[in-house]
Amino acid sequence: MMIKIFGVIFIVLATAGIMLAKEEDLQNHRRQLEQMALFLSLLQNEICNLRHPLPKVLSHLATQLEEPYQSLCTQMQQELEKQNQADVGRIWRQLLTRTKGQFVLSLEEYVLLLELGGLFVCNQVELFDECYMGYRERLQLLMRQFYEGYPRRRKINRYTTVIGGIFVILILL
Amino acid sequence: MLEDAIMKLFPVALRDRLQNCAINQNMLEEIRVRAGQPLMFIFHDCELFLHKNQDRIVKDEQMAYCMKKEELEEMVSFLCNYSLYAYEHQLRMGYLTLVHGHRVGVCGEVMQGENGIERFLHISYLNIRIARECIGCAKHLVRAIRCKNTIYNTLIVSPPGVGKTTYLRDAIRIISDGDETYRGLKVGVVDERMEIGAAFMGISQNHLGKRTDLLSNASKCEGIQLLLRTMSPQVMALDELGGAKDFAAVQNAFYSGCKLIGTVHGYDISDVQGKLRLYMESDCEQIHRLIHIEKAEDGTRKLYVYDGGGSLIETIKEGQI
Repeated sequence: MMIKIFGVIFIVLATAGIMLAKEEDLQNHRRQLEQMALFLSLLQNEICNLRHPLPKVLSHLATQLEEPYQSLCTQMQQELEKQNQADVGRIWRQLLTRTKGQFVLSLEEYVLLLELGGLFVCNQVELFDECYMGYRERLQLLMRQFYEGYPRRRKINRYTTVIGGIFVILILL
Repeated sequence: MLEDAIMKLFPVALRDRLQNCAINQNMLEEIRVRAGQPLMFIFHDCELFLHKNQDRIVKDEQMAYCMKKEELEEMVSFLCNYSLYAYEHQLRMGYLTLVHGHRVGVCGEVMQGENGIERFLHISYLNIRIARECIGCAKHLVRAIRCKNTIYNTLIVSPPGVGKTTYLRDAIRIISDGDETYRGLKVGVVDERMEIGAAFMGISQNHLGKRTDLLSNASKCEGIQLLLRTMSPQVMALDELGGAKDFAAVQNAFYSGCKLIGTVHGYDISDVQGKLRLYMESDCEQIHRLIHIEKAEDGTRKLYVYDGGGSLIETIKEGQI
């Protein structure tokens, strides 16, 4: 009897832990999406208004963003300073592939992040601005979709973990 | 060997080859990079080329390695720190300054706008000019223009390529630092073409002295006004005085009690005296020293020191610079 009680307590705790972990994942996802929007906005300001060279832009961005964007910008800046490759877009994609595990974005969002490397190749501010507008619209759409589905996903997370926990308890009993 | 700042401009594929060539940068004056043409290293007495297949420098043009267009694009990318947009203003002037004062001149196809060149559409030619200071070369020149605790208003005159700017740069340093006999003076430098200080990120890459304030990339008229208003220079240094505006700016400096040391293009003193009379009228009498530099075939220089009236005071024989 005591074992069953402990078992139930353990399952309840595990269920709560799983629910919290999923909740945190969702929060991380939201945070990373918002950071991507901030990254894009800061990049546009640094390049179009301040006209700083890319390594300087990235070092400024690194001070304004949270992980994993912060270390992504820092690593990108270090790679550019080495001047071992001329293709900036390629450097960006290589770094993103290396740090893929740190991102909890959906496939579409991750692909957009990869494509943002195309902004670094724009030699003229006017061209950058046009590309930026396109990427911004896409990101806004993805963020809208995320926010619309956000409450539903939270509910699904809670219900599935609670139901799962109850199911395991019933089996145990 | 070529220093890091220059080596990093070259395409990655060429860097190892150039390292192996062990080019003596101390003797190098320019590196010419042209799309579809041989990569050329210009020394003071010859032109050499990178061998097309081997890691060595050769005299024979036929064996030279020719730069590809993609390689030049790569170089431009490195030159501008992957940010062509950030250097549009400097590129419109036709050059970029690197760390240590080296300059890269650019040429190619431009887009012309209402106000002149708007931007470069294609950069197909680069000229990497190796910066070299000559510390101490203006020692005798400065001695000749000293006047109690200041200097005479001085113009250094010569045709292009003789070394006016090199002498001016060292003169600024000596005047600014002072020595056992004369205390240092506050020098304001208006470096319109960024050749005197060759500032990189606003900091002079050449030795201009402890009491020197450098204003880079500003026009002489505005630069002089700014320095007079804010930095209280005792001596104003200017390079390449040319038209009426430049000399009008110089007159403003005189009215403020500032001494002047500058350079002017000219084949002889009478050439320059004509310009001074034309642009400065009676104020041309304020110029008390005219220094004409003559370059011999062996590379040595002679300095002819004249007073404001054109009478020769002394002749100074210098070595190579």
